[in-house]
Amino acid sequence: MKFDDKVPIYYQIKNYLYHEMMTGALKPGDKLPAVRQLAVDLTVNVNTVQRALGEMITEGILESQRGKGNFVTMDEQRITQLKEQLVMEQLERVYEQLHALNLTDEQIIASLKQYIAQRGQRDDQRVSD
Amino acid sequence: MTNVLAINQLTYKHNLKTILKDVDLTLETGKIVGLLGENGAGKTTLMRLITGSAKGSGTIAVCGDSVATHHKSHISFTEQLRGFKPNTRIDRVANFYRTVYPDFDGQRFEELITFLQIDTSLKLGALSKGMKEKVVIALTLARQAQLYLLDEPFSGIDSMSRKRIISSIIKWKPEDATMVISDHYVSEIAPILDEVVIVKDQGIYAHKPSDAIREEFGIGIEAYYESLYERGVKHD
Amino acid sequence: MTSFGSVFKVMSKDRFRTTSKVILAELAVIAVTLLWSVATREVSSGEFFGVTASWSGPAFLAVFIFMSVANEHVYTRDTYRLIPVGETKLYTTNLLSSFVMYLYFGIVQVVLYTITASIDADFIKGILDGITGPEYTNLEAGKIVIGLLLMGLAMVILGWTTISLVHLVVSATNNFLPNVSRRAINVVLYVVVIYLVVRVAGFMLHEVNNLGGIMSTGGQGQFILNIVGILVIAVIEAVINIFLLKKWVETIPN
Repeated sequence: MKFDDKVPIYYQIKNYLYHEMMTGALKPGDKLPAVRQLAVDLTVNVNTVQRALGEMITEGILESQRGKGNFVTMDEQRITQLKEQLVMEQLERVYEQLHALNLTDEQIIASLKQYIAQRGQRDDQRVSD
Repeated sequence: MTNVLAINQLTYKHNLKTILKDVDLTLETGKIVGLLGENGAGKTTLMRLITGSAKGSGTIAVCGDSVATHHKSHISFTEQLRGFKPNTRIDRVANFYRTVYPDFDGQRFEELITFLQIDTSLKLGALSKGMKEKVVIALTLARQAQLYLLDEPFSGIDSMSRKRIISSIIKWKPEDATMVISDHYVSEIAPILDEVVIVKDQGIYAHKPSDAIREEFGIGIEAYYESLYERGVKHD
Repeated sequence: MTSFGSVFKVMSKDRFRTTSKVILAELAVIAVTLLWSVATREVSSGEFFGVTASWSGPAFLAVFIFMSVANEHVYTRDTYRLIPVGETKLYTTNLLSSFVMYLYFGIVQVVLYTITASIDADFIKGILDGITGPEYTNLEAGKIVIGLLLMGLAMVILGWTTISLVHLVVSATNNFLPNVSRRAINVVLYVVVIYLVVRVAGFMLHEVNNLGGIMSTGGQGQFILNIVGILVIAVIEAVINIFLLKKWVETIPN
């Protein structure tokens, strides 16, 4: 995995794992690889992985079972909540940046709609090509 | 003991030139520390002082012990195998290590050799710079030490091997051991560093957790490191 | 800490090979010389022993030099200096390793002498009979031979401690000198240090001899005292060497 050196690594590890959960690569109740294995897979420090997992356990996304390892929570509600949170974070970023361009809320909505429509067409074209 | 290394007021002069002056540095156990600095800044010297290969003034305690001779059994250093003749085969070098270091783990060495793709029937004199560096890394990591000192382990190494070395560091570093990796070229090891120590102007210019640098300044380790030098230029 | 046995083993492996190579080379040269004699003229009586004895000398010197190089190598290489042992153990094991290899070489020479002497038995007997001078009993002759051997070995040890002393003093001093005209400084340094060491060792040896002269009326007693004197000086040098290793002598950087 390629990291952005400007962003704390533990934060990027968390995002990576969130992503895995959202795409379904990691399902509720799944066991995570061992800490060292994760570190090797991601080419990061064991301590950093531990920090990321520690925070995720505190957040209730992961459950740690002594001697067995870390598991994705079975609490569907928590996962839905996480998904919402991630969507909100992305939207927040887009919103702030567009806002910084002096767009009003209505304009932002209009731009988004327009973008999605255009994007849909382009993707359709690409498929038909 | 949570500090694997405690350096106090370390000064080193060589040929009437001061290389390091009043250095204080404490490292905790279980960390991977990047020792950064320009060529000639004193990174290698600092490591040699810690192993006892160079003699300075001040105190250096390794695992709480400040007797220089005792340091050797705690430290695994990437020494460049100068004690061997060029016609020595790698497996003979490994036998030397096995005999001399009680903490040398033959099993680990075999795993490392396989992982780093080293042919142990080769002679030292026939190795390329990168291949020799891999041999040195395998020997160094095969020991079960408390403090690993890797002096520029990536010099002369192609990027595939570099990745393998980084992986083997993550894989084989004992959990409670601290590893110091010196380099003047940061980007590739940045993700695995817990802390960064920058050697500049005859001393430790900065010592920070790497994620703290990213959080505090919003820049990468490499950019931070470079910014220290740019600032230096402006001051002059 | 690494055991004495382990350190001795790694130090001796290469030295054993080197010594064995010298022996092989010596045998080869002896064989070639004898073959040459056979080819060109007849082998004269006593030639086996004579040729062996005359090639043995240079071989002894060669082993001495190779062992000296191996000794000094240890002090400035991380490969050896980082072995988890104290300087005293490192130093004494190093010296002992070379010494044992020297003994190994010496014993091979004795075997060679014995074999060639038995081939040339008549000739040697003739020479021995021809020697005029004081009549020695077998016991006295044996004592003289053993005494000379011991003296030789003591001199070898003193040789090594002295070479180390010169090397280590120069190496330690080097750290404190400016980094200009390195080579010239080194040459001057070596000359000065060799001169000083030889002078001091010579003076002490002389004093010991005097002491021996005063204490006994010559003969056996003085001879033994001379050997002891040489060893005492070697020990003093060794102590200084160990101190230098501990305090100042650095290894060659990576």
